[in-house]
Amino acid sequence: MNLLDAIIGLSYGFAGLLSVENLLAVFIGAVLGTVVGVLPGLGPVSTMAILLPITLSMGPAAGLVLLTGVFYGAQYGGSTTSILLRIPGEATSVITCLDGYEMTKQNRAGAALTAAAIGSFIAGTIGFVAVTLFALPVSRIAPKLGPPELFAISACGLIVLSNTSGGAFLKNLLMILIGIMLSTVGTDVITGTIRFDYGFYELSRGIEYVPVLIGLFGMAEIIQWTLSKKEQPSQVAKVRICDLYPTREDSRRMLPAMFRGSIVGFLVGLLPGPGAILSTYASYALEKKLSRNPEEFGRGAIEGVAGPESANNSALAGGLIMLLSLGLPFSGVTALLLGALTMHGIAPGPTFIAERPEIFWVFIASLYLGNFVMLILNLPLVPLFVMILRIPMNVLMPLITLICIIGTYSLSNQLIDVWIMLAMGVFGFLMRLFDFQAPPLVLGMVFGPLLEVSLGQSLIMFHNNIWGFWGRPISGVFLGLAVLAPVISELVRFYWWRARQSAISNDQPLSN
Amino acid sequence: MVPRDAISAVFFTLLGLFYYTSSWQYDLNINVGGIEKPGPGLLPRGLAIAIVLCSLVILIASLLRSRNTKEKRFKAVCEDMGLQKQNLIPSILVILGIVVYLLLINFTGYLLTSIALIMFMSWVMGERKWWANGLLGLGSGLFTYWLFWMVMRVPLPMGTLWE
Repeated sequence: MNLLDAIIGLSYGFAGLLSVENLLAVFIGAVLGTVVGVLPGLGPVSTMAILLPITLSMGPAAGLVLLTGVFYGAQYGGSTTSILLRIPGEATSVITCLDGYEMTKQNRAGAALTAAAIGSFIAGTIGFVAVTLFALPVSRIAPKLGPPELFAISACGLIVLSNTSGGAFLKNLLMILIGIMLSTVGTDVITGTIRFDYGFYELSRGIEYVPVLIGLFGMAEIIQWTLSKKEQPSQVAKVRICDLYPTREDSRRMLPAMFRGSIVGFLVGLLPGPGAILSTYASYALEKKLSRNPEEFGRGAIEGVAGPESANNSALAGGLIMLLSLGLPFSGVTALLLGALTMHGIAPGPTFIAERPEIFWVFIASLYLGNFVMLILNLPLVPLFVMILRIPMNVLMPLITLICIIGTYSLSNQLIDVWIMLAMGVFGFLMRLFDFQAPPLVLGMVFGPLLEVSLGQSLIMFHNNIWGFWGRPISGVFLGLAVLAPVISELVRFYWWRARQSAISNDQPLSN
Repeated sequence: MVPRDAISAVFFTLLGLFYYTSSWQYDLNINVGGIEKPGPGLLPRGLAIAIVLCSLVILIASLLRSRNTKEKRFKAVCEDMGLQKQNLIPSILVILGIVVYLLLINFTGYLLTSIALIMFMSWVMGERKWWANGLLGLGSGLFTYWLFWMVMRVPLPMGTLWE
């Protein structure tokens, strides 16, 4: 029944996708994403944040398609510069530099690029099949969750996120708390009281998270770029089309790595946190462990390119299931997609698929098409995309700044939003300097209203008895996990520390 | 030298204390028709306490750590991020340029102010040819005007100066 529903929905989605606006969104998203991926400094999340207001003038499906295309395109583009220049365009492509660039030095750049592109395509397709099959059943479970369960799942997700976002747990937790704090400015949903406006009328409507997002990701990036050293890329290796065909040996080694990477990426993507980045490290470690020749890793092993490049593409699919079915965005990218949906008056979550199937299925269909477009577009155009690196950034940066400003203004035609964006840009840059992460703050802001409403409703249900959460199995288990997550994380870190210490004392390098 | 984490922890402790005192004006519980409901001050007060506690733990841990190990100096952090001291003034000028832009936009209008901002930013970022700055400013201003005003129908400030 579910499979039939999915097939019917998908065919409906492909039919709906055949409009000029949607097809253009697929194409522009793919190209723009690749360009962004190639350019070091400007990340996909920053670009998605900057483009978010522009999607207001598009249909909801086209807007989502464009933003997702940027993310996927950036994964392709990032791997190209990692392999050819040892410049990771994206954080998700850092690990690709290790073996990808080594392959370029051995005149095997074509095989590495093919491994990255085909791996991304296979992983994307596997991930999207999983979204197609599982999003609908998961959304049917969701209505059974009451306010206590929603509160417990969200709280647990945020605590786990603090552990997986990189950096120190307490710093991430602090950022989440600051994000929730910002979400309390404005009207309290339960009582209607206006809070923390400090006499400014503009603050009584609350702080929207999109200006905060554009500030923390876009503006902070511009400030950091202005302060940083400007470097021109070195000579780019030439790649001919005939070089792109992998040898039989390469194919034999890379295909299993692609499938393993796809599964690892999808599973990591289900967890709260920057799944795309974490999945590349998890996949690389797995490939090295399973390899018969682990000593080749770091010296041009094709599995070291195929696995991580597949993993980073399927990771988003896991995050999409949580967003589309439950309305829970547990990463910066899915928080942005949530922003795109809410700007069009759509609330993702259990009712989204049932009430707006025309958007959901067109979006799913566009993922398949976008993935295919990127495969046929990117490999032949590699030399062209690499040429983009020659565009001076001091031409692009002023234009990007202006788009940040006017894009923020266009959200509600209020200059206060631009002031907030600018302030958050400066704050975001200082956060980077003090080693704090921006995504936990944004996710705290996104989850703040949900946490407050579900906490309030739960306390009304429990007659203000906070222990009521422990009396319900799902909320009890998730709150228990939230409490245990930091302890488990510390134990794992302690185990690794001891393993490393013993390896050092035995004078043996730690192989994995 | 004061550790980096200690500086940020002190800032967030003060922010948490400010938030806590601000939250005192809102009730913890309210009674609606005989039913006790959580008030608008419940979450903010809990949050403020959590922010202060988190910051204090970071502060103490940082101070204890700094006795045993040397924390990375700011200079080293900036080097890791590729930041350069000589670019400090240009980046401050960029921020100030945006501040002036926001103060002027309602008076001088979107197009003129945007062209001026782009030209200024391009100059600050190292482009010294006046015609290149002018072309970039004009091109960017007209492009964004076309995109936001004509395509997206965003009501851009036209400027009270021209009324």
